[in-house]
Amino acid sequence: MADQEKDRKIDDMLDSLLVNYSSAEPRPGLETRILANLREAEKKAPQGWWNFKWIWAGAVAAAVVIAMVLVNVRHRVTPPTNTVAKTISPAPQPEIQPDTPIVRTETVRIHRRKPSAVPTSQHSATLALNQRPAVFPTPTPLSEQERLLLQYYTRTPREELIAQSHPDDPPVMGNQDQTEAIPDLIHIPQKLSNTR
Amino acid sequence: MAGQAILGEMVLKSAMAMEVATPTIETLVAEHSRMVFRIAYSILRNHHDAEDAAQECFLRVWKHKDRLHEVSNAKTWLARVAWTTALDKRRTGRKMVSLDGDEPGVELMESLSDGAPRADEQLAERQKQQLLQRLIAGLPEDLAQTLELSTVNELNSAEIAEVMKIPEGSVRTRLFRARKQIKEKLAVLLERKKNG
Repeated sequence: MADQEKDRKIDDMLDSLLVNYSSAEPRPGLETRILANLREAEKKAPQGWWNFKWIWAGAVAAAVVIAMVLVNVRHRVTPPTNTVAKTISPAPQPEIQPDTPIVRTETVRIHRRKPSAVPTSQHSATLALNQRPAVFPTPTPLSEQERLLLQYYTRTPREELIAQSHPDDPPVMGNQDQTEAIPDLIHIPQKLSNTR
Repeated sequence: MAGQAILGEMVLKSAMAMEVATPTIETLVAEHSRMVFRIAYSILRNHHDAEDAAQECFLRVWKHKDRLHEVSNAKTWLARVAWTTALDKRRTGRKMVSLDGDEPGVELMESLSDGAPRADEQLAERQKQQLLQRLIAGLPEDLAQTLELSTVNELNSAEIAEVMKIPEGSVRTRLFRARKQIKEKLAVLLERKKNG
């Protein structure tokens, strides 16, 4: 009974304490001060936004100008280098060179590339690295004489070639070199030198 | 009869318009500035800080004035903004003294009135509030925050739940636990005072 009484007393005390805990009144004119503060903030805001906007616009314009100047300077300093691309241009008759498949795949890759409008030096260097053939030294196209010889070989029937390589008449000393060289034509390797 | 129908229709229309109307900052300040101040005061326990928090709360609202139409319940939304603003201010500001031991409480308990009217009633009331403040500060944070909000007359338990984003049942449980813990501490203090 005493405990209950004590508990009730403490309860009442706590209630009386809590009732006034947040019953504070603001100083007179709080609303006016808040509204004045808001109006002040509203006045400041557009000016701040205006400055901020112009700072951004200036920064973007400066970045664009710098980028244009850089591109222009690089373009002038290093002319586009496409020498590598030229050296590995498709061979005149790639179908008769089965022993160089890598070169052919590289050629295909070159055709797929989109030509850039303004090739920079860095871009050309990257291109040259990408197009570097796996075979070294770089294969060079056939000379005029070699091409004629190859044409003759491909167009002439095989029987005729064999017949020419084994003439009925005993070979003359001067012709012997030519006739013996014919079978070797089959294995004519493409000249693998760019140092001649 | 027809006049009554027209009048009823007009009343209905105006009621619907009021329901849909987006609150302006001015109306929010006029209607809820006192509640905002009290919420801030319940946490900061200082008139000056509470007013600063109220100003900051409405500045936050002003920054989101374009989205005021999305607010379904302006009162609880504003109460939440005030609550978070005051909590932020308390975190950044001076730390409140926690009730680590009972000694300061006993000291304050000595000055509690026994119910009899005294000349220095105002001073006694302030000391009571200081005691309660220390007791609340000694509670776990979730209980303390719930109890502080419950002391704001303008908020009921459902609104407190909405402000704190917790179920209403949790609010009641927290309030029960908070009161229980404070009562236990008060009982100890009263016992000590009795024993001398």
